[in-house]
Amino acid sequence: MKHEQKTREDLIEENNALRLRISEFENLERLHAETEKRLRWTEERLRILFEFTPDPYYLFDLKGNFIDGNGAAERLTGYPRGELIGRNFLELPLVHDRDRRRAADLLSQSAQGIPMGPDELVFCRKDGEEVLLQMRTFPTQIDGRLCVLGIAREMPGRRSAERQGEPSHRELENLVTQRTRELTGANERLREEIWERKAVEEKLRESQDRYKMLSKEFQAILDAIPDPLTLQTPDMRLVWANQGASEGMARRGEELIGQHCFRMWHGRGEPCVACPVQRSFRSGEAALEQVSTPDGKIWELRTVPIKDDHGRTIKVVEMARDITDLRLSYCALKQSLEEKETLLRELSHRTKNNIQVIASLLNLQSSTVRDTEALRIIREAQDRIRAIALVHEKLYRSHDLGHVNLREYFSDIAGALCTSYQTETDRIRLVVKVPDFTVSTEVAVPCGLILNELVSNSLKYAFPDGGRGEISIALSSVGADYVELRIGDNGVGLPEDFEFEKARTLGIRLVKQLAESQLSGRCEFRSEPGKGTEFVLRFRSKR
Amino acid sequence: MPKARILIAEDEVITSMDLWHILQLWGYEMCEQVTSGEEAVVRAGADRPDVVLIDINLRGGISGIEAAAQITSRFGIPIIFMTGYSDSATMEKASRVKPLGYFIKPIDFYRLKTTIDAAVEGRGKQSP
Repeated sequence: MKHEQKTREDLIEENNALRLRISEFENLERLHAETEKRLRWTEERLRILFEFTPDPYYLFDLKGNFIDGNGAAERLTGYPRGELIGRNFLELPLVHDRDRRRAADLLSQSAQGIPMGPDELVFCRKDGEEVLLQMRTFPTQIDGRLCVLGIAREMPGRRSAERQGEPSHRELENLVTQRTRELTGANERLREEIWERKAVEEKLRESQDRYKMLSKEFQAILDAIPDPLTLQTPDMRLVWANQGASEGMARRGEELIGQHCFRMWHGRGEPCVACPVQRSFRSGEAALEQVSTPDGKIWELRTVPIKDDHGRTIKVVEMARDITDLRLSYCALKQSLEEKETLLRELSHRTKNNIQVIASLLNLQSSTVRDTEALRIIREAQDRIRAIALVHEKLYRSHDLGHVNLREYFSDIAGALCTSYQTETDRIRLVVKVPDFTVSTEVAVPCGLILNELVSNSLKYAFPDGGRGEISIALSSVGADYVELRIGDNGVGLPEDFEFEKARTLGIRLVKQLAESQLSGRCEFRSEPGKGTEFVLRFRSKR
Repeated sequence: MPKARILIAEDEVITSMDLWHILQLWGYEMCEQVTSGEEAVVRAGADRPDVVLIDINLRGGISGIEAAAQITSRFGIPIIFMTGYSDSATMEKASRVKPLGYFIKPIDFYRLKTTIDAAVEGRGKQSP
C-alpha cells in the first residue's frame, strides 16, 4: 500500500519524471537510429568508394593474410576476392617470384606503422599474364586491429620500359590508366592478330618450303634424264633447260635462258624447216620429228604444248633424244635381216633346184628303162620328189620364208599329177576347196606327200577305161588349232578287199605313216562301191 | 614339112639334158646344148632354130635376157624363157624381149610343148 500512501503531487512529479525519462529515451533512440542511419550511409558510401575506385585496394592483416579487396583488384588480378580472403599473399602466385621478397618488406614496414611506396611490383594475373603495378602500402587500424592497406596502380606499357618516372597529376594518371587499359585491350587484340598472322605465316613458309623441296626434287629428276629437255616461248626462246640440254649445247644453264633454240642448237639464224616446236605452237598438239645435226647425229624431237586456262599454248616442252646409235643399230639389224632373208630365199631356191636335178636325173634314167614296172616305180618316185620340190618353190615365193600356202601348194601338186597322168584333157576334173591357209614346212611336206599319193591313186584307179569324174580336195578348220583334210573322188570306189590297216603298197603305207606318225593325226578311208572314195584326215595344224 | 628346130641354153646341165631328151623323144630337131649367153647367140646364128629355150640366169658375160634380146633383134628368132626366179623385176626385164612364154621351174613339159607347137605352127613349120 505504498502507492496509496504517495500523494497526488508525488505521483504527478514521478509521472513527469518518467515522461521525461521516456522522452529522453525516445530522443536517445531517435539519435541512435539517426546515427545508425548515418553510419550505414557512411559505410555504404565508403563501400561504394572502395568498390568502385579504379585503383585496386587490398587489405591485409599484419601477417599478410588477405582481409578484403575491391572490384578493381579483382579485375586487375583476375582472382575473385573469395579466393583470396583468409589466404597469405606470400603463399599465392599473385606476386612475381622476383618481387615477392620486396612485397614482404613493404608489408612488414607498413605493419610497423610506416607508409611505404610507391614501389613497382610485378603481379601475375590468374590467367598468367604479368602486369606491372605501382604499389603503396599504408598502416591502418580497423576496429582497433592493425591492418595494412595496399593500393595498387597499374603501370602503362610494358614492364621494363616504364620503370622510371611517376605521373605527377592524378587526372593525367587516370587518363593514362584509361588509355593504358584501352591500349592493353588493343595490344591484346593485336597480339591475337599477330599470333594468327604468325600461324598463317608459318603455314605459308611450310608450303613454300615444300614447294622449294619439290621443285628441287623435280630439277634433280629432270637433270637425271640424259636427254636434253627445254621449255620454249612462242618466239622460240629458251625459258628453262635441264642439265642434259645445257651439256648438249655446251653452255651453262643461265647462258641459255632467253636465247633462241635454233641458234643454240644448230647455230642457225632462223628456225629449222621441220621444227616441231613451231608445229606444236600452231596446232596446240604434241609433235614428233627427226632431225640431224651437223655433227652427224640423228635426233628424235618430241614436243608437248603447255596451255593456259583459255586453252592457248603459251609454252612448249621439247624433248630431244639422240637416236644415232639406235638408228645405226636398227639399220644394221634391218640389213642383217634382209641378208638372212636373201640367204634363206637363196637356200630354198637352191634346194628346189637340187631336187629338180634329182628329178631330171630320174627322168633321164627312165628313158633307158624298158621294163614297165621299173618305169612305174621311177615315175612314182619322181612324183614324190616333185611334191617335196614344190614346198621349196612355195617357200621361195612366200613372204615370210617359213610358211607355205596350202591352197597354192595343193593346187600345184594335184595340177602337175593331172597333167602327167591324163592323156585326154578334161576327162577328170579337179575340184580344190582349200582356203588361204598357211602352215610351216614340217606340216606342209607330209600333207603334200599324202595328197600326192591319194590323187595319184584316184587318177590311176578310180576312173578305169577312160571313165569321167572328179577328184576333190577340201580343207577346213576345226576349232582353233585343228584342220580337216578331205581327199576324194566319185569313181569306182576301193576294191572290196581293201583294208587300210593291212595295206602293203608303199603309197598307202606312206599315207598312214605320215598322217599318224608325222602329223599325229587321225585318218580313215570311206568308200562305197560305185560311189567313190574319201580319205579324211584330222590333225593339229599349229605346233 | 621340116620339123621344128629347138635350141636350149641352160647352165644346169642335167636339167638341160632332161629337157633335151624329152623334146627329142617328142620328135623335135634338137640343136647342140649351150650353157652361156654368148654361146647361145653364136649357136642361134649358126643353127637358126625355130625357137630358143633360154634360162634367164646364164653364166658368162651376158645374161639370158641380154642374149635373148640379141637373138630376137639379130635373127628374129622367138624366145621362151625358163627360170627358177619369178620376181617382178626380172619378169619386167624379160618381158621387154617379148618372149613367147615364161616357164618357171620345175617346167611343165606338156604346157611347154603346147607353147612351142603354137609358135612354130604360126611360122608355117610342122609340129612333130
